[in-house]
Amino acid sequence: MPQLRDSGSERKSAHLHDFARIFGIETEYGLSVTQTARRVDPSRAAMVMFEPVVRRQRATNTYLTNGSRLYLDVGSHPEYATSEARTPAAALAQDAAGEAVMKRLAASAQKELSSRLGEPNLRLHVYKNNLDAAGNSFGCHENYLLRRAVPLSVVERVLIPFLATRCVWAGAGHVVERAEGSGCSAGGVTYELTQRADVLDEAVSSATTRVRPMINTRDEPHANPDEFRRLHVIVGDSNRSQTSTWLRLATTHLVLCMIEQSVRENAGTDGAGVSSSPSEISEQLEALLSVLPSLTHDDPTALMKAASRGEHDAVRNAFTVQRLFCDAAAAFARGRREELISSGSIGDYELDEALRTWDEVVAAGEYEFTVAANADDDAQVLQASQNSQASQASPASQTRDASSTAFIVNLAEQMPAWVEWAAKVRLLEAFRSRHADAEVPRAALEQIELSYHDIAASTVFEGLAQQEDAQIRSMVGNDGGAFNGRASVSGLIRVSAREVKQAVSEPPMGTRAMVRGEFVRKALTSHVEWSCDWTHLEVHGSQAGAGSGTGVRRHEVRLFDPFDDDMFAPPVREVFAALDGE
Amino acid sequence: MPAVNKSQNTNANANANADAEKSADALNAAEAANEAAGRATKQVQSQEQADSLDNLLDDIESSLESNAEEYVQRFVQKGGE
Repeated sequence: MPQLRDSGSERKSAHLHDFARIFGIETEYGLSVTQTARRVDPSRAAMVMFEPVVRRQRATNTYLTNGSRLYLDVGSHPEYATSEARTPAAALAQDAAGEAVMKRLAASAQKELSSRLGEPNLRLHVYKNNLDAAGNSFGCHENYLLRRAVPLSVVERVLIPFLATRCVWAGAGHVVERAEGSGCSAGGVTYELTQRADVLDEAVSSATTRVRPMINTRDEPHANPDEFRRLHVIVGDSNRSQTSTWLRLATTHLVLCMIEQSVRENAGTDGAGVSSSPSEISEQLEALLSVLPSLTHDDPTALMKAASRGEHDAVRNAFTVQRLFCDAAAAFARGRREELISSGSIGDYELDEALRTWDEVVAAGEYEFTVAANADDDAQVLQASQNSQASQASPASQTRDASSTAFIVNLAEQMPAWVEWAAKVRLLEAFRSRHADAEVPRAALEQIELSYHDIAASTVFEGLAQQEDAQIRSMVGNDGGAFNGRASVSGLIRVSAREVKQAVSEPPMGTRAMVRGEFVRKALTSHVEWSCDWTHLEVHGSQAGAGSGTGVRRHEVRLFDPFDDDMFAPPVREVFAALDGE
Repeated sequence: MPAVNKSQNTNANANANADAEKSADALNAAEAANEAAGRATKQVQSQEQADSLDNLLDDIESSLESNAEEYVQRFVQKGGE
């Protein structure tokens, strides 16, 4: 039932006091055309890709039968915004559907371009990453519906340190140029953990502006603004690793639940059954916040940048911050499990998997700083002495490059298979060691990196995923050691081909995406003019045509409650009937 | 992906041997033997993984466009977000 209608009638959301959430992911893709005599502008490729959309909608902007939005964004970036999902797993399936849709559009656009330009070898690449070769950035934005009672200042205080440090496991990794003559084995290049750190604005020091790049404060709740706000997180990498995408949503959700609960408890308005003392979660969060400044030095942005560069202490601190959040979330989930599950925002199995996978990857990082560090003491002493010799001959920044590259390569060996930056480092290091007799040009490494992100014209990622699957199959049940066992089940969060196919045509359950999806499905076979957006469905009015007999009356319905999936509400039925020309 | 580095394996093997010697408990010894066998399997797996990474790199190298510099430089697009 739509709320906040034009008449002004309002009804309280049923989810104001529970842990229900709406998840959404917006992904911009990068385009490039190769194997042609002359350069083909990405905007031209984008227009050809979107010709099927234009034919259907007379615009480069449409909604699909799964409720998602497909459009061309600024800079000719094809963008896919998932429909509203109730769980991280459902949002992941929609994101995977977006990849499939892009892949299909790219395949036909490649054929079209190839024949129109008379270039038989033309390749159209569609990159799910965040930087082009010149360093221009495009994003992967996460949306979380958040209760309005939570002040933005609290969100910033708690969430920013979490977001700044999750790159140690969520980063997609990046190959970057390094200073000449820095003496490390990686000739000409070094690695960064995330493609987002360098585009964060560090020029401004005022707190609100500093955090702006991680959370965009543009507040479009697409819901009753008195009850909800939309949290727009723009600091994440686009991940091809589905475990990474899913875990970003699941862990952020749990942190948001803790924040919301602490605000409720402080306000004394706990709507759910109180199972713990009123201020328990607030105390836990305060305890966590009290140690954060020593780890982040009150500058999470700087910490993220340093961790991304592989600075040893920054990475260690980032893992420590993640450990604090992971343990707090696990304790919170133990105390509030029933409410978390019954709110429908995370599945039973999904909750356990999220906490386990999170703990596992943080433990892998901690391992590098404890056991492995001790075992490698001799090597590090040697490395340090080499560094000190190097530092006499070269500037300090180059020394940092050398030791941080070696550190990143070591750390990558410890990470579970699904951690994207690490998988990339391992692949590229293996490539370099094959060609150890010759200098590997930076472009060759960048080419492999880009191919990894190419969803249309490359199978590098699929090859790695297959290898990972084989590894998982061979290791399951083989041993149970705390660390030896950790890779055995990682990466199992994977959307199957069948689920992707379903998500391409069907909306997620339990949100207004079901209403929008059904509207689009009916509209595509109807002869009337229509349009829709996130909160609005419309059948355009028309005059009686010469041949058609009758005109169509304009019908419109606003869908202001994202949790409302009722397709039988009278206003919705009226719009559906109008599509049928009734 | 080799998740366990070599020094870790060596240490672990040494520990497993030491454990087996110290303990007269048959069950513990059997467990230690199992563990050692598991680690041997893991080393074989590591080799298999290295081989399969090698195969993957063969595939990648044969599929890459020949002019890497040209390939990379073609991807320049206005920023988004």
